Amino acid sequence: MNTEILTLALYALAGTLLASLLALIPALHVYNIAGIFILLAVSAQQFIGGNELAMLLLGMIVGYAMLNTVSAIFLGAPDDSTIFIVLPGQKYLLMSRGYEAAVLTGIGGLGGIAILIVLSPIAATIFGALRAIVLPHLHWILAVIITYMLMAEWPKGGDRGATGLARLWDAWKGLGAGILTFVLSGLLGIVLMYASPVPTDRAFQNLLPAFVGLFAVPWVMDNVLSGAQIPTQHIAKTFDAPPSMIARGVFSGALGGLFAAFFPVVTGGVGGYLAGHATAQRDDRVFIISQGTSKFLYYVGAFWLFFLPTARIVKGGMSGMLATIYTPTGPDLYYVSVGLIAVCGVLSFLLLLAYSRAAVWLVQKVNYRYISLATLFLLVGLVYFFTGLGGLAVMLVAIPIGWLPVLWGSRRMNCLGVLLVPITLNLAGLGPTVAQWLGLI
Amino acid sequence: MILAVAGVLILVWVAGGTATPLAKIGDIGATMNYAYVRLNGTVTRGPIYDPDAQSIRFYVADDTGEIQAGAFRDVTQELLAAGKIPTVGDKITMEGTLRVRDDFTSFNLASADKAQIIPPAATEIEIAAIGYDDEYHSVIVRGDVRDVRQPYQGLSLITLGDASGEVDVAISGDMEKLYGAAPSFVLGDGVQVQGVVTYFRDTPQIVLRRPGDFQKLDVANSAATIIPIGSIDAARVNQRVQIQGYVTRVTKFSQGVRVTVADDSGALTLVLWQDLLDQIPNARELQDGAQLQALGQVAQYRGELELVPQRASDVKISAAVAQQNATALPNPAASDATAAPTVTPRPTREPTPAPAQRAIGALTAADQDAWVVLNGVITRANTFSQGMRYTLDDTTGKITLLIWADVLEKIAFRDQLKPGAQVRVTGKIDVFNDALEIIPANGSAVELVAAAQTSPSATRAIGSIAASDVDQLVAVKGTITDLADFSKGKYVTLQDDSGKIQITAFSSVLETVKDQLALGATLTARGKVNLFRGKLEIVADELAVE
Repeated sequence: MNTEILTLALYALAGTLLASLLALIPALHVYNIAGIFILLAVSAQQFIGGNELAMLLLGMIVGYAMLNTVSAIFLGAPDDSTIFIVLPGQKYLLMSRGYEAAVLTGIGGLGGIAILIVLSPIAATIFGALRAIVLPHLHWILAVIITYMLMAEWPKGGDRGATGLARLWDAWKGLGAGILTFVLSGLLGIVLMYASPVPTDRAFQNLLPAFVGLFAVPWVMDNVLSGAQIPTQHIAKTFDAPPSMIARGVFSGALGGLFAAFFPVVTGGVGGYLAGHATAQRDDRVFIISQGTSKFLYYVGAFWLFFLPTARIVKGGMSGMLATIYTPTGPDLYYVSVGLIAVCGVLSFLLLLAYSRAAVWLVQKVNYRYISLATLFLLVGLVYFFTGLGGLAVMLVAIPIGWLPVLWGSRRMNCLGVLLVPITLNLAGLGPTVAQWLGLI
Repeated sequence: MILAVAGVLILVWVAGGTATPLAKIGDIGATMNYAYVRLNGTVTRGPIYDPDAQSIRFYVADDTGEIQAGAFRDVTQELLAAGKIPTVGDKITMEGTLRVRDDFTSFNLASADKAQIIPPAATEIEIAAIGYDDEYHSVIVRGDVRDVRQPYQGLSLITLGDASGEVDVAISGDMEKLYGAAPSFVLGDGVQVQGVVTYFRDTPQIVLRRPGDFQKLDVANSAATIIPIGSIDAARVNQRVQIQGYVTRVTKFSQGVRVTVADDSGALTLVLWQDLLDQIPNARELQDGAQLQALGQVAQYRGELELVPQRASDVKISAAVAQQNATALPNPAASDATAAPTVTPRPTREPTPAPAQRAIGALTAADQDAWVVLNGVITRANTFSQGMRYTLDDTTGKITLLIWADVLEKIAFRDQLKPGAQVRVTGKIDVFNDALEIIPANGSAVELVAAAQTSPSATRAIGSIAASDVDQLVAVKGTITDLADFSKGKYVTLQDDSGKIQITAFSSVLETVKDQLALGATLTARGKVNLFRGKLEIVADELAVE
C-alpha cells in the first residue's frame, strides 16, 4: 500500500510540475492538456492506470489552480475563474506590486487547501445531503443567479451627460453590451448543445472553442494590439495582510469557491463574485485573497468532490472528462487525494513565488506582444487539434462576442451565458423547445 | 458588435440546416460525452416508469450494441400525453444527448417530438415455433393459462400452453402503472396474447406490451382437445396432447411412477415425476381402474412413446371404477391430502430394527437401502430444484446428505444447516450416479449437534475490504443498490459510505430474506470474501434485512 501511495504521489507531483510549465503559457487552460491525456487513455487503455491518471490530473489541477495566477496578473490572460483577479491584479501590477498580488492570491489558495482538509472527514455527508436538497431546484436557482448577475450592473453611469439622450446612452451602453454579450453567448451555448459543429466523437471538448474564443483570444489580441507598458516591479519581502484580513478573504473565497465547486454550471468567477457581494469585502487585498481561495476551491474542490466516497459528485471539466473512463473507489483513495492536494498545493505555492519572480523578469525583458502572438497560434492549434474546422468556426463566432466586454467596458462574466443559458433552460425542461424555435433540432 | 450578432445568426442558420448526426450505439465512447445525436434501433426492454421521478427508461439496441435511454419530467409528460411510450419491440428513431460515464452510458431523449416510434406488426404463431428469429418481434399466441407466479414485486409470469408447448407471458408492473391492470383470469382460461418475444436465459418469453393485448377467449383452447390414445405416434413426439382413459397399471420407479393409461383406441405410458406426483392432491386415487385425464408432452424413451405432464394441474384423477385388486400407490407425501376416504388397503409397515451409527468411510454400495445414523460436519451446501444437497464429512469419508424440500421445510433449524455445522442424521442409504447418499425421511431425522462458527458480528466498512481479506469471514452492512438473478441465487450490490461490493447469495441463504430484498433496503451480509473475475465479492452465509 505504501508503495502504491508513493507511486500515486509521484504521479501527482509530476502533474503539478507539468501544470507549472503550462502556467507559463498565458491563456492555455489545464483542461486542454488534460483532454490530451483523456484522449490518450481512451485510445491506449493500458498506457496508464486509472488511479495514476486520476492523481496525475489531480496534481495538474492543483498546480494550475495555484499558478494560473501568474499569467492572469502578469500576462493579463484570465480564464473564466480569474476574470475578477485581473482588475485588482493589474491595478497592483501598474503600481509595481504585481508580485505582491500574486503572493496574496497564493495565500488565498493555501487557505483553500486548509478548508478542504478541514472539510474532508464530513464532506461526504454534507455534500451528499446538499445535492439531494438542491437537485430539484437547480433551474430556478440558476435563473436567480443569472438575474442577479445582469441586474447587479445596474445602475452604471448615466448622470454626467450633457443631454438626456447622452445620459441614457451613458447608462445603457455598458449594460446593453453586457446583456447582448449574455444573450449572444447563450445562443452560442444552445447551438453547441443541440447542433454543434464540433464532431460528435470530440463532443467532450465541445465548449473548448467557445471558451477560447470568448475569454482567451480577446485578451491575447488586446495585449497584442494595445502594447501596454508595464512598470518596473517591486519584489516585496513581506505581504501587507494581517491574519484577520487573510481569514476574511479565505472565508469569503471559501463561500464562493465551494459554491462554484459544488453547484452545477457555476464557475469560480461567478461563485467568487456572488460571495464577494454576499460578504461585502471592499479591501483590494481581501478581494485578491478571496479570489485566490475561490479559484483554488473551484478547480480543486470540484475535482476533490469526485473522489468523495458514495457521494461522488461529477462537477467541473476535469471530473467530467475523467468520469467517462474512470470511477474512483473507496475511502483510502479519497484520503490519499486529500493528502496529495495538500502536498501539491504547498509545492505549487512555492513554485508560485519563484514563477512570479520569473514573470517579473519576463515582462520586463521579453516583448509581451511576441508572447501573446505565440499563445494565439498555440490556442488556434489546440482548438483545431481537438475540434477540427467546426471548432475553429465556433471559435471565430465566439471571438467577437468575447470582444464586446473589452470594447464596451461591460463584465466579461456575461460570456458565461454560454454555459448558464443552455443548462438553465435544460434544467427547466425548456432547452429542446428553444432549440426547436431556433430551428436547431 | 455587428460581427458578434452576425456571427451567431450565421452559426444558428448553418447549424439549423445540418442534420443531427446518426450514431451507432457500439461506437459511443468517452469522447462523445454530451454529444447530441440521433439513434436508430429496437426497444429491447422497457418501459420502466417511475411516476414519482416522472421518468421513463427503456433500452434500445442496434446491430452494434445496446444503450439505456431515458426521458425525464417534461419529456415524460409529453410522451405520456402523446401516447408515445417506447415499448419493447418498437422500432425507434430518437434524438437526444449522450451521457458517458466510466461504468454506464445513457441517452437522454430531447423531446417527445424527437422520438419516432413504429410498433411491431404481430404474426400468429404456435408456442413451440417461437425461436431466436422471433426475438423482439410481436407474436400472437393462443392457449390456456397453466400457471401464474410472481418472481418479485413488479413482475408477473403467466405460463401459457397450447397444443405445441408452453411459454411464459411476462406482465411488468410498469406496464400496469402506465396502462392499468391486465384483464383478470383464472387457471385454465383460454386466452389470446399479443406480445413481443424476448429471451430470458435462453428461454423465450412473451412480453405483454399493453393490457388490451391479453384477451380472454370464450372457448377453451385447442390444447384442451382430447385425442384418442391410439392416434399418438412418433410424429407427435415433442408435441403436447391431452388424453383421457383409465389406468391399467401403476409402476413405481426411483423418481416417480409410470402409469399405463388406456382408452378404446390404445394404451400409453404416463410418466409422473415424484415432485409432480407430490403436488397432485388425490394422488392416492391413482390406481388400477381410475379414470385419468392428462395433458403433457409426448416423448420417446427407449423406443416407447410416453406422455410427460409438466404440472400437477395437468393430471386429473377420478376415483377408481374397480377397486378390487387395486394396488395402492405408496405416497407418504400425499398421505395428509384431503382426498375422499377409499377402501384401498394400505400397506402395513414392516417393523424395522433401529438404525446403527456408522462411519461414512465404512459405507459401500452394498449398504444401499440400509437405514443408518451418521454424524458429521457439513462442508458444502448446494440447492437444487427439489431440496438441498449437503456434503457430510466425518473425517473417515464424505457422503451426500440429500434433504428433499418437504423434509427441509420441517427442520426448524434449517437456516443453520450450512458449512461448519455438525449434524446427526438418520436416513436411508441410496446410490445415485455411483455416489452414496443418505436421505432422511423426515425432519426429526436430522439433529443439529453443533452450529457452524458464526461470522463476525461487527460489521466492516465495505471500502476497507481488500484483496488481503480473501477467504476471510466478514460482515458488512449497507444499502442495496442493485439486484440481479443468476441460476442459483442473486447478486446483490451493497453500498455504504465507503464503497460498494457484490454479495453473492445462493438460494439456500436467500430463503429467509427473499421477500424483503429490495433496492434501497438496508442489508447486513456475513460471509467469506472471494475474488471473482478480478473483483472482490462476499459469498454470503447469512443475510439480514432491516
